[in-house]
Amino acid sequence: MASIKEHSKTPERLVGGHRLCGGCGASIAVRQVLLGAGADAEVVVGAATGCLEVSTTALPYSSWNTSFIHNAFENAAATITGVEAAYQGLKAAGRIAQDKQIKFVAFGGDGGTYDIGFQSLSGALERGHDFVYVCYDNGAYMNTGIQRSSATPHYAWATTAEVGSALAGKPQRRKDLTSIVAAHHIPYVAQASVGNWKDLVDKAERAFATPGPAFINVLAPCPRGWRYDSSQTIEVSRLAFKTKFWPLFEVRDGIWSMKEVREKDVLPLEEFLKVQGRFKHLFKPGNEHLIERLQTEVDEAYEYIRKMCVITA
Amino acid sequence: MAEVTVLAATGNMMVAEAFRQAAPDVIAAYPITPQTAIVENYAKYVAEGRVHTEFVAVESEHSALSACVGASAAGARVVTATSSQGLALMYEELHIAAGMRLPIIMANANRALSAPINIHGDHSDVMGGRDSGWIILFAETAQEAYDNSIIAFRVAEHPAVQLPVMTTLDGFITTHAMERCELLDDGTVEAYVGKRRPQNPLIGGAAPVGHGMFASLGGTYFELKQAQRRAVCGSAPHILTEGQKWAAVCGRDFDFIDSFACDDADYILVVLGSAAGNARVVAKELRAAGIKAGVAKIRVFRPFPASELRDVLQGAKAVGILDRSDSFGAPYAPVGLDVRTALYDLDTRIPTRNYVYGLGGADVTLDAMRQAFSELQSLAAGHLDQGLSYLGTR
Amino acid sequence: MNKQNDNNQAAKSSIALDTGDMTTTFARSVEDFDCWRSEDFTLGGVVTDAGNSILYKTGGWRSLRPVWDEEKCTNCMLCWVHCPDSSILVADKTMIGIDYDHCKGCGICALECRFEALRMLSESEAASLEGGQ
Repeated sequence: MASIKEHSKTPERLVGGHRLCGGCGASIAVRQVLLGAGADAEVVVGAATGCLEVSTTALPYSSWNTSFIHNAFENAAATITGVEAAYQGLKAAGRIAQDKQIKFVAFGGDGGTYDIGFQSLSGALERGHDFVYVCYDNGAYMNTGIQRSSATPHYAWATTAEVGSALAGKPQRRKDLTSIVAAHHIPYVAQASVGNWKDLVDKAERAFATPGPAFINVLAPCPRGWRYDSSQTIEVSRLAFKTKFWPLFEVRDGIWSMKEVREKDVLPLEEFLKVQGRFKHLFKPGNEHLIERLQTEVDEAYEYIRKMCVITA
Repeated sequence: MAEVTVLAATGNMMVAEAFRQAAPDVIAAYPITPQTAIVENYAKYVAEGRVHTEFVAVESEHSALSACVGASAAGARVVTATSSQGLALMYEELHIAAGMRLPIIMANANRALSAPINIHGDHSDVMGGRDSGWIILFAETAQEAYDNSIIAFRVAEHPAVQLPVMTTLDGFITTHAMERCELLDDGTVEAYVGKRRPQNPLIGGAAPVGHGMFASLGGTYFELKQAQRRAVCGSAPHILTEGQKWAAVCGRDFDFIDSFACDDADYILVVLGSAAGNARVVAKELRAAGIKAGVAKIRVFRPFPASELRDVLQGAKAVGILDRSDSFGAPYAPVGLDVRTALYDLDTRIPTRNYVYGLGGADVTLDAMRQAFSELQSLAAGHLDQGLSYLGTR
Repeated sequence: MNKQNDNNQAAKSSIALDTGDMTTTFARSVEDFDCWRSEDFTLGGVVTDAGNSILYKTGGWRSLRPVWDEEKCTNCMLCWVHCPDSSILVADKTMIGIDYDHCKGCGICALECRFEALRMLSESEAASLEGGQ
């Protein structure tokens, strides 16, 4: 795994001049993931409709210093696997060189991945194409204005999971997409975060190096939707890790492993929640039990991964 | 010289053969009745190593066309096939494929749309996609489905066209019925279709490119849509040229409209697809009885051959427009709307009646055709009003 | 043109032409995009100048400006790896400056810097400092 200084020689594959908000986690995730493709690789990028896509492709400009395709919201996986199939077909036809290597990667937000693009992703993974799918998970439909998705955390505020006398934010737990993807028994599955850049870039390197389908779910906070200052994106991501809200783990050929939070670094969940306006209602008197419940759920999810690491070791 | 094999084949078999002979790089498809035999036959070619095609067995029609969009943008020659609910599920992607100016060849086995669910032939599915920017061809027979499918590659991939083409055949009637067909040899088809030369492909090109960009700001979208209208309308001469080149190879005529006895006809039925045969049988009967009947079968539905149709219909006393789908709430059914619009530009008004027939595979009988021609005579004589009616309901 | 753009050029020329494809480009400069007509676009609006958003300046969004103290900088690259706008300029494993044409002033670099080599100043403050120099 290359050092940060080595990586800094990689040509920028996502250049400036895009219109994502200041402090956006999505573009950080993309830059870090694409470092993992290696400095010399030819990369074709696909993207689902969403913040990342609209902000990087406003005509006549493209921020992608690679070949790029956007099709629609729910089909980034089907689309990039169509590109990959074309690569295989053109090779078989002798129209491109047999030794030509291309990396295929698709980016989708949590809406485009957990929800509307779930079927397309599942199908593409099952078919076994050689590609990497990256979900940049900011926990809501940010492009349309912070509506809840199945990735939105329990009790988080969203514009379609409001906070009022009858409702305390989203009433349901979030979907554990990374584990569901692992159940496809593809060669490489990982969960990472922009707050742990080394872990993320290393995982991306492994994903790109893996023949067949690979999937990475990257926590990519949204300052607007989570209601924190734009400078805190990395800090909030680190808190997600240290409070065990967002475990960093991977599943390589069915074997689970986790980057554990060091015992002395573990923080209570409140530390992650209190810096975000979307959870501010949880700190009102009388809502203590909601935080307790959330802490229990987070602990359970963390334990589940730990157990999977033991079972599959 | 082309070698011709005469065989008994269904429309689905002939479309699968046409696809195989065009040697696509990618097929992405999903099974649906009555199209399934096309992809099943193709899967056999793949299994037998007869084609180099990458077969993407997707989990839905939406993903089928989505994968085709990716593959075509990448620079591959791409085919798919669908029907009915599958085409409806592709609706979003129909517009995207056309808007991105991607050559893709899709066979559609024309079938009714739910509800109620029905697996039989009509044109409801295709008509839902008629405004999406695809070139749309209708076949009457298995042979025509084969010819249209081969011509489709030359048209879609033509440097001045660069549009997806839908080559359609009527569910069960044409997809499943065995007919005498002529299959040309692989080398002849290969020489005719040539190789795709992609414009700005994602892979293998001179430079990285961006497909499917965002055009919400200012009038960008508007300008690109104008370019799209020009492209679809402007494809007409290329369709004719490429179709006639194939006609010279195979010896079967090609034109936007297949006219039967229309030159001096007083009463003409306009029809798409497999029902043309029954219309012609009755027209012949009427001719034998001294009534000047004709049939105009539209083979190229998009772009709509309005001026060619006017030329065919202009001498008629009454025109009947057969529609195997309806546009609920509209003044007329889809073909009715287009044909009446085309006729509006004539100096003299020709009265028309619009007949919705054969929905959900309901039988299209000779008696129904006789009734239609008979009504046209009443219409011309002033004994019947213009309008729309369902032909052949109980 | 800055260093980042040099990188763009290098990446582009690395792809070989081997399918006999046709390449088309926009008929007009992006400078007068507002005047483009249908015929000035590539088919389907394909962008053939990948990475050309570098020509679009987002620096004007900024209200706070990161100011770099080269003396304190250790070239650890943490600002570079975390920048959402690819605006930390590096060459040969060394930080060489900030791309103020694209930096939106989010403040991540200054918060993540462990050496106080980056601090956020208001644009007016930064302007008066520059004026004083």
